[in-house]
Amino acid sequence: MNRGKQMIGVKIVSYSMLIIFSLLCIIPFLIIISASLSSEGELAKFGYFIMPRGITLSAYKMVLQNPRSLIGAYKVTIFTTAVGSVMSVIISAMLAYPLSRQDYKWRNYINFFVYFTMLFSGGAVPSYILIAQYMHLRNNIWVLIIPLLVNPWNVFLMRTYFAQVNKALIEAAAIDGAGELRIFFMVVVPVSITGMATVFLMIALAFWNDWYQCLMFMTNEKILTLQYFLARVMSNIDDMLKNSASISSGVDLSSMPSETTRMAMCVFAAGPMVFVFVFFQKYFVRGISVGSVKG
Amino acid sequence: MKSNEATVTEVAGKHKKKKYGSTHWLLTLMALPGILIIFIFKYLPMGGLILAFKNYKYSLGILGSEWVGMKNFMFLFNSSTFSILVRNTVLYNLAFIVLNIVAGIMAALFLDNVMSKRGIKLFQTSMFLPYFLSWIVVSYISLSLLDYDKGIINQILGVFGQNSISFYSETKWWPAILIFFNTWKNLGFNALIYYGTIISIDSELYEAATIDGCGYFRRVKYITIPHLKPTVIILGLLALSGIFRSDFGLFYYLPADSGALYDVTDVLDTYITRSILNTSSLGQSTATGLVQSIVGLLLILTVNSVVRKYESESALF
Repeated sequence: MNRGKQMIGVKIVSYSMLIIFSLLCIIPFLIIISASLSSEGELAKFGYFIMPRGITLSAYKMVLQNPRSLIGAYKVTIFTTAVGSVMSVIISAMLAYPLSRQDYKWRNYINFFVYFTMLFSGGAVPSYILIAQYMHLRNNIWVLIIPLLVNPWNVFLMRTYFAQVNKALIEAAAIDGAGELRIFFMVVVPVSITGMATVFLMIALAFWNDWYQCLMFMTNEKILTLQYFLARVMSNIDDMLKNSASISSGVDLSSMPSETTRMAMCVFAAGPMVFVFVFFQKYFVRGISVGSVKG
Repeated sequence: MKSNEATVTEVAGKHKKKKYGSTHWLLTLMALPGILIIFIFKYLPMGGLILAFKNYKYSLGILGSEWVGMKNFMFLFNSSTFSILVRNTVLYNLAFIVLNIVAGIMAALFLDNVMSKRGIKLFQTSMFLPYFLSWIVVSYISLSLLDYDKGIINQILGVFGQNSISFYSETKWWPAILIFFNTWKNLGFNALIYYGTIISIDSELYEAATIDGCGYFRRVKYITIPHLKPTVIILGLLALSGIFRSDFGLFYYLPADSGALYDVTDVLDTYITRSILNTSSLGQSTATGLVQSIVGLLLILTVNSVVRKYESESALF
């Protein structure tokens, strides 16, 4: 009896805490979406709120009417996400597969070669100098892709998936005379396709959300990713406000995106990935649960 | 190591003797693109670490620049900024590590008490949403909460007749703000990992404990927590090895790179990045990066050997 009461108490606490946690995670989304749907005047007067005030689509119209940069940034992000994810998943898988083969002679060496980069790194400055001054990749769209292609985490995650492939399958294919490449693409990849989908989604998320490469290497306004474009919008406004405070003349405040427009841009930048996530959640969930397996 | 290799080659020999003599070369060829990319973008920069002992001049390049011995390090260790940076980096990371573990485990335990599948999924999805945002989008969210005139928090303060807070110029609020947003963004991820471990625990253990008269809290204490220990240790270890590193976007974009807040928001990584963006004192920031890497490596080796002694199952290597 006592015990039953205890369990009811535990359940009530659990549900209430989860409701609080979930609300804390969802409400900020509502605030941003509401701001993007509010009229500029209402937002300026009353501030942010979890419901739109004076509902209007004018912010979205503004974004789409003045599309130069946002559409440009969209194109860049779609390109890096699509091309980067495909290249990354293929290259990582081809590296992970030999590492999953117990009978591969140089397995231990290559394993260490990959693992060591997780423990020690040259740091940001040497990487920057290498890419910018020796490889001359500044303002080249490939700088948003190539340096990010191989992430040791993803390689080890895929190695775990490949290691679970039934050895008999591989041997049977080998006896049938299939070469290593054929075995890999025709047997191993199809069998571990759900695992690869997880890694693909995680890589796509990383490319979609990347801004660091842009911050470091892009001075050309035409090649900015969506996320970095958002950051620029914000910091341009900060700069203008700072200047207008000190100079207080000649600053064209009307040319800046309004608050509601900025929030609409934010929805554009975050929306697609959140949408994808909700649909493919089970892949993320599975992949991340396996991701905690030790390397 | 040696005996290990011997058996690997032996096994390989047995399987592949007939027609797969070229197997090793083919597998190496497959791995080659990945190996090359890692070599270029991870190993070559390690060579660039010699810059930490040089006075870098753009025109002279890495190799041509003049050697200055330990001067960059002396400058760092004597500057008051460096100690502030180290203090901020380490303290924030410690807070993040503890809170990520505590909040993650709590959320996982709560999830475990939810009966309906749909409820679990609903809570999990909601808590996971922030994980999919970039720090830049999060900085828009934090602005909507913290803005002086229009922010939600100041509106709430207004309702209670309090004065508005100017968050972007007052340092004292930022430790709490940064810690909150870091926990907030990672909650779903951590909850997922711990929840995954909890549901993999054999349910017979709980049934037996219940029959033996264990209440909920004792079951958690004697069954759930011990099962979570290896995961906590592995994740904690990895986090600890990065104690001199930071999730750069959090510290750079949330405070809007506001100079007034540097005292409590600046960490080693933001300092290094600013020096790259201004191309100033690159030698010193390379030295900072080298300190980060060495401390990280030493920490993980030390902690790992300690773990191996007491919990060999959970050691990383």
